[in-house]
Amino acid sequence: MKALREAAILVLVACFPAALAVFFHPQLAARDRAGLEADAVRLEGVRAWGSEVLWVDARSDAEFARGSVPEAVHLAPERFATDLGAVLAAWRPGARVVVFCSSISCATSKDIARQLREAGLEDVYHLHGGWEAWQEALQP
Amino acid sequence: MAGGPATVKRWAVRGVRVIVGALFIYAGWLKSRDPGALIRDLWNYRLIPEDAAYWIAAALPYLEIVAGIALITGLQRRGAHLVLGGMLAVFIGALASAWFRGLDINCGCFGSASAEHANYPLLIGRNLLLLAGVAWSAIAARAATRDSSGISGA
Repeated sequence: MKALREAAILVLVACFPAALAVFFHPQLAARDRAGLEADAVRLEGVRAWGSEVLWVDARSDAEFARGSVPEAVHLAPERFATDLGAVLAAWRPGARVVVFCSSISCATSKDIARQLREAGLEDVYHLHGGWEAWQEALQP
Repeated sequence: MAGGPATVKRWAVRGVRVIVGALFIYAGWLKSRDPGALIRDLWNYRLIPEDAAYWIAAALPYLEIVAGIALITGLQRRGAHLVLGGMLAVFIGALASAWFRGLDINCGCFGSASAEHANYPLLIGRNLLLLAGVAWSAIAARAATRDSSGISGA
């Protein structure tokens, strides 16, 4: 019983910095993103924008060939320099760019989004959940 | 002055406490710097909803730090054994589950410093070793209390 009481004390002590983090840590305080990374966006969030969106598919050639978001531009990570031209050609001023990969587990979209920002594009996000989230949203 | 083997054992237990405690403090500190990545890492296990991942990511780093400090300093050490042992058991279970389901994920054990692709046997082995360290510390603490010899080191 003493161990339980002591464990409860430790949990309570840990709650103080945790509460401060919830209110003041930039990543946690942005509750509207539900703690997502600063450049991550959910599908619902993209739909709520109401602005033009350029979808960038950062999956493999085979995955892209099997199906993708309508009008998405394919940018294979291993051919970034080559495929970048297609992305820039498809981009229109004011359009937001959303990069996606296979699922929540992949980090490719985040890397590609960063590289696109470095290439000069603004308003670049990566889709939380990736292609898997898109397909789930299509299911009834 | 206690005999040789007892002294060695006492120092060995202290050493294990410092190593295990310091590892948890370091891991908690790394996690606290990037909670957004921790939410993603936790969610990648596909065991909990995202809202739960958010709250765990907010609390887990500080619980690791507090429990690590408690283990080293001896303040609320019994509680530290329970908290650390419980956390390690959950981590081992989560890793084993992800391994069984063939998930290729970042374990999130040391925040952004963790490898992109989890080496499950290595991670589970490491956590089992840490769990053994916590168990040894708990057994030593219990034995020291029972002896009530006035030596509070073990």
